[in-house]
Amino acid sequence: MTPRRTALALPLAWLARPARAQLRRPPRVGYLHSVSIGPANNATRLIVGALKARGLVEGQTIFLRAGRGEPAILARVLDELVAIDPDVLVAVGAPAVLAAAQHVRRLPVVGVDLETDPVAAGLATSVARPGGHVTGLFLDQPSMAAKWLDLLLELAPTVRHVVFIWDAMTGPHQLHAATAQAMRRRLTSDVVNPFDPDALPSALATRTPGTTGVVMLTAPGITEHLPRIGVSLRAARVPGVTFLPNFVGHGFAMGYGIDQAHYYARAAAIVDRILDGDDPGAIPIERPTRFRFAIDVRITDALGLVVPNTLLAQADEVLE
Amino acid sequence: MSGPTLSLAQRLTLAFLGLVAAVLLVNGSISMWFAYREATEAAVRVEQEKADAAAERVAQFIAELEQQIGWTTRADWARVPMEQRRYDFIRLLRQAPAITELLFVDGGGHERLRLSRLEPDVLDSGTDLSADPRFRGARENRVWYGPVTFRRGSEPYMPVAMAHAGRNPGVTIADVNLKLIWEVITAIRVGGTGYAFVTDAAGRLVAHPDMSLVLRETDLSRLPQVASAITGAGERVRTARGLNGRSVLSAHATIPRLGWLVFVEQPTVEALAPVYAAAYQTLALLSLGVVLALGAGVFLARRLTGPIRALQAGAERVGQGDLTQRIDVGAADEIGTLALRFNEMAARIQEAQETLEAKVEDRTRELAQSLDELRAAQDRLVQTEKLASLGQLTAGIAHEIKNPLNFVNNFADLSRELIEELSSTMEKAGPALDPALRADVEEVCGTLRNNLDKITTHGKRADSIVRNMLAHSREGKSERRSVELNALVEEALNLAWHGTRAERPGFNITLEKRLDAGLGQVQIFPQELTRVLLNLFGNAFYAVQNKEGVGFQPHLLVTTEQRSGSVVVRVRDNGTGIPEPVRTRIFEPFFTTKPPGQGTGLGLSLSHDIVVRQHGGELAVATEPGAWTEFTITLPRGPVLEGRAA
Repeated sequence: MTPRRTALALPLAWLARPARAQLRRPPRVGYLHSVSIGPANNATRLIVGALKARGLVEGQTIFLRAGRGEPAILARVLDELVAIDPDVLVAVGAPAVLAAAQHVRRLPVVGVDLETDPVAAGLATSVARPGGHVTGLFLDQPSMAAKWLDLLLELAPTVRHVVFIWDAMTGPHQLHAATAQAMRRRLTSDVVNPFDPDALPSALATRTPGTTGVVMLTAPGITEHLPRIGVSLRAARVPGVTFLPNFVGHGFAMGYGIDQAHYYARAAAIVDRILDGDDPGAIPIERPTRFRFAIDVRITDALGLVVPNTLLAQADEVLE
Repeated sequence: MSGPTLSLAQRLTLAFLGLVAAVLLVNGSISMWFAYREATEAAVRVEQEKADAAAERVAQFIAELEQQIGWTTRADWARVPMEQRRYDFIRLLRQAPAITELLFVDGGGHERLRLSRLEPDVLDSGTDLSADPRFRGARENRVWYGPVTFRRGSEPYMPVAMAHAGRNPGVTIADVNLKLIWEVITAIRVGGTGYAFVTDAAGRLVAHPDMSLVLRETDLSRLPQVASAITGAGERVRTARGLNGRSVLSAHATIPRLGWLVFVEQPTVEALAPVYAAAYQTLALLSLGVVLALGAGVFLARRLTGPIRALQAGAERVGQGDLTQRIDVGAADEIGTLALRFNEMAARIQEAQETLEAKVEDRTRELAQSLDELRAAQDRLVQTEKLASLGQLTAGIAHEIKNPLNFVNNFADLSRELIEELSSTMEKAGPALDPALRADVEEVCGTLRNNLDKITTHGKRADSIVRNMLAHSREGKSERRSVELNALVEEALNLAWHGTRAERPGFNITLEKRLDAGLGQVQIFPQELTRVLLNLFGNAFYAVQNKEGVGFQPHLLVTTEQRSGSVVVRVRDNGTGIPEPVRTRIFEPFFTTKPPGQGTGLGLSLSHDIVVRQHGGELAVATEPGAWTEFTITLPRGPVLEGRAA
């Protein structure tokens, strides 16, 4: 039966194809990153890569713009993207998501955001049925910050002071959770801007090694800055925890968070559905299901720290 | 009646086609029905197996979880240090990605340990969970599966609580993120485009290849297949509408421990593809069969109606009169026999028609003959009447002429006597008379005598004619009586012979008589018949006399013949014969071929009168000019009609 059906289907498909082609122009996708669309950026690499794998071509059907961490630039490139008249806009990072959600009405927005609570921020009426033009991937789990702090303490119980690397543009929720946990653990804490090259070294300079640790909260577009931060951590001989397991290797001792490749692939799937005509308001916001934990034993060894079994047992990845 | 008329060939073709199509249709329908039943049952079986397999895999997923959680429920676990418990929990979380949160509650119902993937660990919080359904459920059932809840109204979670071994056991509670079943569900292949999904006991979607549906907390209890599966009624496999509205073959299996339902749905089109294949095959065979039947029907009908058409055409041509038409159908079957019979029939008709023509010809000939005879009789009658009237006219004239003629003859005779008296007177006067005068008188007397002789001669001739003429009116005067006809003929012949010999002594002729001895007595008028015979013999002798030639032997044949009811007398001579123009007139009065003075032209006229009118017989003549002449007298034997005799 199959050959027969194929024989029937092929000419029909051939007939139908030009009609559809005439009816619909090739779909256009805008991609807006809060900070960077450089090749080193993880989110861009993963999401745009998945979209390109679906046949989109950069500059023709998919248009990339970055906000450089500046609200003004972000607003400008958002206008540029809107002028291109995309069918769907992918916004990465809380600033880009909020800007897109507030700036353009009716344009479907697929947000990729590890910080914002979409319901509380008014982006969606509910997780199951966003109801508006914004849907996408929202981690929305500020308690993770406390988890990162506990991980740091488990590795280095002698730490009495913690430096939080926090991007103010991502909102206060994670920092609140983090500082609350630090207070609960009777730690003192500092906050530094990830994009300020001098902030972290100066924050660590006055601290005694062995009693200081670093926790990096989620910061969109930070990938390109990881080497610099790693250098600072190693120079100060300070253990650090970061929010993504794949950020481990530059100087952070540990990384715990979403399985980025697994999770971000969903963004391309949602873009697909919107391009197929699904109402973004009816596509549920997806939250991560898989988390990974990575330890860089080279760093802990260098710091003279003994990794407890409880941490090794959790590790999905151990760098040696 | 008013429908379109179909030719025999068309009807035969239709009948054949209908028969074959009906057989094929019945056969096809039956085989199709069985194939449909079989394939449907097979599809149902396959769907059922798939549903069972899918349920098995989901159950396996849960069973693995249970087994992994089971590591923490050893009897000695209550005694191990907290650090060890945490380590075990960490390992469990590492092993089972679906578990999001783990709790250890001691035998008293107080929370001792809480590990989460998203939250910081909590040790010895002491929260009283003794009334928590998870704790109570596990304590009562050892393993307790909680209801599916949707965190933030979106993500499906299910608590699994398991009591530890030993007395006053603690409980391990795991919060399981059911989104992980997605990987199990999507791994289940159901044909090409089929899918599996899982609902909880209330019909709420737990797992579906389309994650969005699950995250939207979709309630499927209104789908008929889900509703019937929840109540447990009805078949495990049924056709239904899928979530996207397409017709699907839906099968389900339950996971008894959870009360969940695992559905396997495959588009009906795909599930029943073998059925459709069988149907298409049957249809194709049916079409092929019908086409073949059409061909065979046309061929057979042509074969059958060809000879019938030939018969029809032949019959038409025969009907139009072409009796030579024969039909060759070239077949030895019934139609061949029919054609054979038809040909025989045509042959017979042809034969009958030819015979009929011959008969008609015969009849026509006979009729023509009869007509000729009738005409002859009519002519004769006319002739007879003509002759009779002529005869009466002649008799009338003769009667009127006879008296003056008598006066002429008598006074001529008297004048002759007076001349004689004058002569004798002259003699007596002797010399008294001047001799010259005497001579003159003598001369005048001589002349007068001569004249009177001529008057007497021609007067007698005229008298003879008149007498003959009068003979026409003398009928009935003589008497009819029985006479020996042969004797009468012989007597008349002798009389004629001697008469002619007396007139012409050198005349010679061979006389032949063939007289029928059995003729006997015949009722006739002897005097008149003798007169007829004399006339005929006289004419015969005259004819042979006029014929000249070397070695010519005059011959006369007289024949009498007895016939039933009549007697025949023939007189045949080998004389000059009668030329055709003469022959038609010979019975007319005053018609004669003899030189003037030698015949009155009344002989045959009278003879005809006597034979026909007086005797009621016939007088016929046959002749060959220059060869012979034969007169035939036919006389009736019986008494003559009174009218005729009168």
